[in-house]
Amino acid sequence: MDMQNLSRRRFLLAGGATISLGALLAACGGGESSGIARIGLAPDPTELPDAPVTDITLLRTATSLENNAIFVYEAAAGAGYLSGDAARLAARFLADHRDHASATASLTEAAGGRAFTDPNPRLQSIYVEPALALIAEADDPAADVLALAYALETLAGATYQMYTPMLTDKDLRRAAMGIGEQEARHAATLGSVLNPARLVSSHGSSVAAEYREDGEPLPFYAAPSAFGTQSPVPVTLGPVDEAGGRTTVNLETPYLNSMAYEYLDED
Amino acid sequence: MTSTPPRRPSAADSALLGFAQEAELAARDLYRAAAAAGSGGDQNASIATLAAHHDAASQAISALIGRDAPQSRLDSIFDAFESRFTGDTGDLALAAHELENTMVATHLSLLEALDGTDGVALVSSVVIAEARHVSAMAALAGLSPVADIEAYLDIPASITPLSPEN
Repeated sequence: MDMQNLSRRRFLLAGGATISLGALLAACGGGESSGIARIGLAPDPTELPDAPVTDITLLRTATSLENNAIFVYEAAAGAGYLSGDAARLAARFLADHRDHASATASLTEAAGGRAFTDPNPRLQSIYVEPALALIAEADDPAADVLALAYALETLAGATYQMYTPMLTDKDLRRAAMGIGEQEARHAATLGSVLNPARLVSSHGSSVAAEYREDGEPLPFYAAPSAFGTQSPVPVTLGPVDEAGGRTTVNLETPYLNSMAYEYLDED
Repeated sequence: MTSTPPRRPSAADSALLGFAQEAELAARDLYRAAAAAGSGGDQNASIATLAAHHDAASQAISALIGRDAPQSRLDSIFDAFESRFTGDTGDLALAAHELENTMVATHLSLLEALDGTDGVALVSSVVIAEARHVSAMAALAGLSPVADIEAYLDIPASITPLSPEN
């Protein structure tokens, strides 16, 4: 239809015809009317599974996140991106994450649930796999692996921080934050290696002018803030693109759309 | 069956959080003294910022428990650490490393005792920050992140959580 020639009058006439046809179809519908006129037939909606966020859900999600970290460190080791002290540090962190995964799995079973054994599927697809693909093309893969590790460890600490107040069993809090504080120490250790010149960021803190840093915050600090973060954790990875920039991935703590619900085991 | 915990701090929570605030204020004053003495050397600005971190934690506790906040420092901690905080950078770093590990252990023990989830959320957030302080102080002490990795990652067995009872 030539839109230029569609006058307002013709438009109103066409709209009226559509409404009239719709009313006719609705009137010819089946005898079991819902009372709401509709055009055509729609399939019955699929019911969403009942997915409460329980202590078991939180523990399973924590295990899934540990498995994401294990996947990353194993992939980096397999590709030979790191060497020397960096490789030894990564090996220690990998061992810690295996311990953490085992601990959260045991807590899940002690709470009456089934332990989650895979990496978190959503985090794997939206963060981990794209990040590793970028690292594979990077000019300095070792630096990018350490940057990703710093971000993942920060995210892991933030996840335990977020989940601990959500746990209904008080006895689980210390165990959860005992792991969370170790993830934070992983991040801080990397921060001290990547930015030894300034261990503690003054950005966001109330300090005298003589102690403040100039310019924007740097990407790495041993201690970046007065409180644990709940903000997305950015990490810049991969090769320089045509515009001279690099890709920044914003990692977010697994929440309602990415938890390891028990119904996932039934799929 | 476990019931849903309350959000706001109970009276018992306020007493525990008040104690935590006293510990935070002692840490703040120790870092302030260290920065004033220049004990942090090249990282003196980082030391001054750690004072601000502990001050922020104390203020957050104050905002949560209001008039129950004591607004005073735990003198026993300040007195126990002061001379080492105002010594050379190596002394300061090792003393601060011990203090931060003690703070983390103290806050972890609080988590089991608190009823209200607002307090749990705040203390969890402080635990994350102060755990990172430990590793920062290990680095300031010149410890190797490979050979001395335990100093970065673990709470030593010798560390005892602070408690209102001791």
